[in-house]
Amino acid sequence: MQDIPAGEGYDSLLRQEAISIAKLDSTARSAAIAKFGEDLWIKYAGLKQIHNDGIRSTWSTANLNDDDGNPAVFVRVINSTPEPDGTSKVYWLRVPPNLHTRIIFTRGYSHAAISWTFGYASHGYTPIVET
Amino acid sequence: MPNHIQYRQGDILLSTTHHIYAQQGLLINQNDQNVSLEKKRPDLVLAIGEKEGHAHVAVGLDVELWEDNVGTLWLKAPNSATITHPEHSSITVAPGTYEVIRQHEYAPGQRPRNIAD
Repeated sequence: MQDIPAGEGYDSLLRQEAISIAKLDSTARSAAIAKFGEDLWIKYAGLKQIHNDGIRSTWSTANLNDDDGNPAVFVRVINSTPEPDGTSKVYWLRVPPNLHTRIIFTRGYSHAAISWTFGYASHGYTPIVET
Repeated sequence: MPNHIQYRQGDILLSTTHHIYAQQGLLINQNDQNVSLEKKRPDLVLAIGEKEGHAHVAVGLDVELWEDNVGTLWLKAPNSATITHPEHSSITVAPGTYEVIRQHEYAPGQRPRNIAD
């Protein structure tokens, strides 16, 4: 993130930057969030957590809409394999705003969101190993 | 007993066909389409990542990578296979034939975008 002087318009600039980051593709977005600061990105993108299963979480923001005016929804995931320095990469993947599937009620919103990213709209995502 | 066996390495998911169809010798993809393997790939690269050299690669005896009639990759591993990637722990999969499913994300007004880690 470039240096932005504190003062009038500071929050507005950070909000604009956070929304710009949200619009990037997943790889560029993850790198930009790491640089911007995840807590700041959550704050200035206006993200609210709507589900957390202890491993993954799902977040929504009304500051970024799709073509139908629905709020943007992201699922936050952490690489199963840590980096050499012991940290783990975090990815924020955008998912459809309306995941009305049965597994939301049985496995939770975040599982439904990850299932969707692998093409499973309702059931079928059941990996026995994840790295 | 699950209907299929799945392994995930980052942004790819390997999934066997439904076991009942497998017993019948049919390959049914995740969209319930009956597909046929048409083109053998000259390499064993399941997916190429965003960074240079970061690819999901299969290694193993008699392992083959095929493309089906709808453009999806299938891994044939008659004696198991190991999947490698520079940023993920390797996975050894049981003998079988696996659909290679790429992870994607939602993009309003567009087709879902593939993810490449």
